Amino acid sequence: MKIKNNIFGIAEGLTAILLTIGSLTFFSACKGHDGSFMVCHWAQNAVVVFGIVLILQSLFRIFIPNRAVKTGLSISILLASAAVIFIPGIAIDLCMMDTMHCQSMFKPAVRIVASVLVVVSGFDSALGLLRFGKKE
Amino acid sequence: MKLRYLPFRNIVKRPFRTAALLLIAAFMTAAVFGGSVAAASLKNGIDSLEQRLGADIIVVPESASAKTDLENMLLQGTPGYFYMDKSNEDKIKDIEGVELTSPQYFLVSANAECCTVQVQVIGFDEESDFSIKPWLKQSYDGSLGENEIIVGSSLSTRVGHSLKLYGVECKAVGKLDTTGTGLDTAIYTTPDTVRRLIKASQEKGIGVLSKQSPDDVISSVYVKVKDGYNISDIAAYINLNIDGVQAVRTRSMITGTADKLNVISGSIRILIIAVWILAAAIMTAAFSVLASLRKKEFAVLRTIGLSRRQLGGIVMTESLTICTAGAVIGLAVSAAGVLAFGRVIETKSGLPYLAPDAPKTALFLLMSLAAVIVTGTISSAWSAYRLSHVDTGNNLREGD
Repeated sequence: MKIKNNIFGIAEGLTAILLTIGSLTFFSACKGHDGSFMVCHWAQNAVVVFGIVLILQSLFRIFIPNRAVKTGLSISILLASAAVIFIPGIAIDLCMMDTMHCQSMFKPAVRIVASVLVVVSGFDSALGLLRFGKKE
Repeated sequence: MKLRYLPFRNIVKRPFRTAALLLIAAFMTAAVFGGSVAAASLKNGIDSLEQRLGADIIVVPESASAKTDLENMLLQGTPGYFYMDKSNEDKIKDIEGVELTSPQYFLVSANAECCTVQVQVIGFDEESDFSIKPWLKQSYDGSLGENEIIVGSSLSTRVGHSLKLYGVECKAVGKLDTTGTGLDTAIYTTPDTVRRLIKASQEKGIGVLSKQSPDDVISSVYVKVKDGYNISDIAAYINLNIDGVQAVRTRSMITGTADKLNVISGSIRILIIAVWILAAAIMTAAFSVLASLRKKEFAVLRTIGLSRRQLGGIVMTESLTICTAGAVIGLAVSAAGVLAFGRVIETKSGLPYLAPDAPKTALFLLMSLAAVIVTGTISSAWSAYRLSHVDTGNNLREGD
């Protein structure tokens, strides 16, 4: 495994880890009281599941040597991370007030981290596709 | 390789040099843009609060340690409740110089079904109101009906949708404009609906709601003074002649906050200038050092036939590309900080924070971009001149 060929994969993996761990810790959704869950809890769960999938995809992207597979995986990371942007507040409702943690912290943080992942995987996919274009 | 690709090749092939210069440009843009937007947001917040209050004087019960409680409620949305006898409004209305009065009733905030945070419910008199309805963003057909509410802009409840408070379905019929203050998180309704909410809470056995009904008490009276009368005199008259109340001039109430904001905005401006000067100095030094290191490279280029103009063009294109890329990164980072996390800044600082509108934000963006690009270009101009005038023979004869 050459680091030079996997810089984008490593960056994608680290961003996906940040998305997953961040969603569970420092930019998590609102905490429920008395064991009850608020509506934003389900948005957090969805983001975490997507985050885990993105981590696994990034690992495959790093360790699978075939360049075509790497490009395919980076495209799938691009699409999945783009989908994550729409989870909080659009696909799954958050709490009612803008001042609540899920609205003020979880939503912007998830969207920013997912957008970074979109940009990184976008570059990765574009470079991969360009290489194929040149070979053909 | 075509000559026009040479500057970009230089940038890509020297990743550490490029990264360092990118970082300086990004830092400078982030400081200029982020600082400008943050300062403008704080100014917008206090302006909008001042306009939104609408009244010249707010009268609250003396026992409420008025200023602090009301200011906290207005700025931070901290739910508050205090009551005084309803007859106080009539006494205020009779004072010479008082043009309009409008009572409000603050309900001990209720846990809305959606969230565990408390929501301030404000009962207001529709007929005399002059401070809430003018701020309606989406109009509705007139008076509030049974269980109908107007919601602050921070509540995600849309017009036409319902919100359940103590089991009572309340329909949102209007939404207020954003103020960047605690007023955005409140629910506004009529005293009748407030009565129903109190009853509903009692039926549910929840003891947090007030036992005092809007029939007997009010929380505050918003007062508008007639033109030609001194607002301070009227406030002083109320304080002297009506027992158990405190009249606060709205302007004086927000003066403390406005002063604090002025200090913060001033500090931000000084910081922007300091960062700008520092970044310009670092950039000039960096380009100057690079010029010394790249003399041989440019001497070779001169030998193979590149004109002085072309050599200068290479340096300028490199610096322009790096500054633009750095500026874009800096803009993205600072926009994420001051725009996306504006609510966090507002909540944590307890200060009114209202982001500027899109055209003004775009203006700040373009100004920051221009500031960095111009600074970068000026910083590299001297290096471009030196490298385009290298003494080819001497430089090539010198050993490593």
